[in-house]
Amino acid sequence: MLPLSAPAHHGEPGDPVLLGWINDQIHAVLGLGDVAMVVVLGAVIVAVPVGILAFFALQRMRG
Amino acid sequence: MALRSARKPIFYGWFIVAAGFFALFVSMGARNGFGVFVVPMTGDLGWSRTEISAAIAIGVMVNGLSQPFLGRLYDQYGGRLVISISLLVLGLASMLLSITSDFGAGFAFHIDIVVFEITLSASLLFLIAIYGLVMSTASSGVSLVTVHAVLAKWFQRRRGIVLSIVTAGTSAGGLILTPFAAFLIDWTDWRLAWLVLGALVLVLALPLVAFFVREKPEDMGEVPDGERSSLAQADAGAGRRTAQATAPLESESWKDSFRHPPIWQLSGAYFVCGVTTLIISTHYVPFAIDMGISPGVAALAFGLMQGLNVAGVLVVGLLADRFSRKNLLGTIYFIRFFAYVMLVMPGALNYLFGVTIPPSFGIWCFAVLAGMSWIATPPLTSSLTADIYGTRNLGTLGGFTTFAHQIGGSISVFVAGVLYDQTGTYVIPFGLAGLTLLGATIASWSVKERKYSVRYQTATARPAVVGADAD
Repeated sequence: MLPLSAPAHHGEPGDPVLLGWINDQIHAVLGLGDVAMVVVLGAVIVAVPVGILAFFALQRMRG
Repeated sequence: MALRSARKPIFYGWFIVAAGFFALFVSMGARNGFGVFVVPMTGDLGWSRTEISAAIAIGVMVNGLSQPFLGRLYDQYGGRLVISISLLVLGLASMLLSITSDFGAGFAFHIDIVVFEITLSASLLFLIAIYGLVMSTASSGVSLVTVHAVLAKWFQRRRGIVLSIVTAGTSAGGLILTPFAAFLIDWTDWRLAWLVLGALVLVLALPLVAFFVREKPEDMGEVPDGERSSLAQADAGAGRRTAQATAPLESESWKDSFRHPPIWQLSGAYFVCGVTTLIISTHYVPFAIDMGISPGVAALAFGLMQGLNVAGVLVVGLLADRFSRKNLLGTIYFIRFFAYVMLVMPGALNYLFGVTIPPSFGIWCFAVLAGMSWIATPPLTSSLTADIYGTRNLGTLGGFTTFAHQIGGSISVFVAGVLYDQTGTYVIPFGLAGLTLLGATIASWSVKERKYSVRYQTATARPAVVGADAD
């Protein structure tokens, strides 16, 4: 009854059972361990702001 | 060589789009990711599911209630300050959750609340205070309301696609940060995972927003959409002064906005949007299982729905800058209505006439149609609000419409549960929710966009909209 719900527009917490199942599927499909997944996803997360800043700096250098 | 030096620089507004995208990506991801902490935290701290759900429910309620107030703060103090402080609080609060524990022996008491029992231990009180109150309020400050309001000032002609891109950031955050947190918990523990999520907000998102976000194009010597050079040249050639069209219902006080129908039409439709998205978030998988679908397939259909919403919102963003936004919004609600018809039809035919249609047909049709429309409504609602009421009070007005959305969602989740208990089937609550979408469709289509939207005003020589067909 309580809204322990998956992502809606405004960021309600995801259903833990569903999220666990999705993680298992990712494990099964990619076959990577926890550490590798943390490194890969962490790299993706960090790459976004670094990419934005690098692009901005490139623009500034070009004048 | 000459060509290279003549290349136009990227309009600064696009850097604010990127910063807004990432702020929503991280903040929504951190909040959505709470689901993966439920099992390890309840196991460690001895909470029941009801107790942790109560903290989450308080968080959802506080998030909805605080949206208009944070929107008002945005209108008064600007996006850079409000979003930055919200990110700071969100990051620190996430890190604080890593020390959740029972502080001192014997600090616990028991309360009964009508239908469920909760033991308010010190650790649960801490969770309610930090997650339910602090983080949920801070989330309102770094939300679609504030980020859309900033970008609506920077973009007018491309408002639809820009607001859609940053809206996609919320979904992308959930898709990447939630599994990231889950794998981190598996690798280390939930305490370190909270620390890392908080650090991501403080180290990556906060500096990016503080560095890039500026309130309006004039602060950077620009004009909306970055069309200064071509517009200025054209105007100079024609010997006239550049001017921006003003939103017809823009007023000094936000209260005046409520004297005209559009804000009520948009909020009413958004209320229905909340009804029809949160009921799915909570009851879709149980509904599918009730229909005889295996849990794995039900979760897969739900995953497809979540994956499709990014594609859906971007397609709608592209269309929103070419066609009438209210027609597009109404059409999205109608498509969602059709999705609900497909979902309940097999169950309804079986319930009423004993006719058997494979339930998987409805489940998959719904996953595709609802998935495409899932997050397509926020950018259109924000765009229309900005087009009609201008950007002066957009934070407050956006907060009001979002508040309506969250109220609708909370009611639907509760009512669906009660109706299920009474009737033993989800067909009736889902059917009723689907019917409300007809009201949202009519409310959206009946907005007098041609009369009230800035896109159809002719204060400048610039064409307001291409190929639009409104009213």
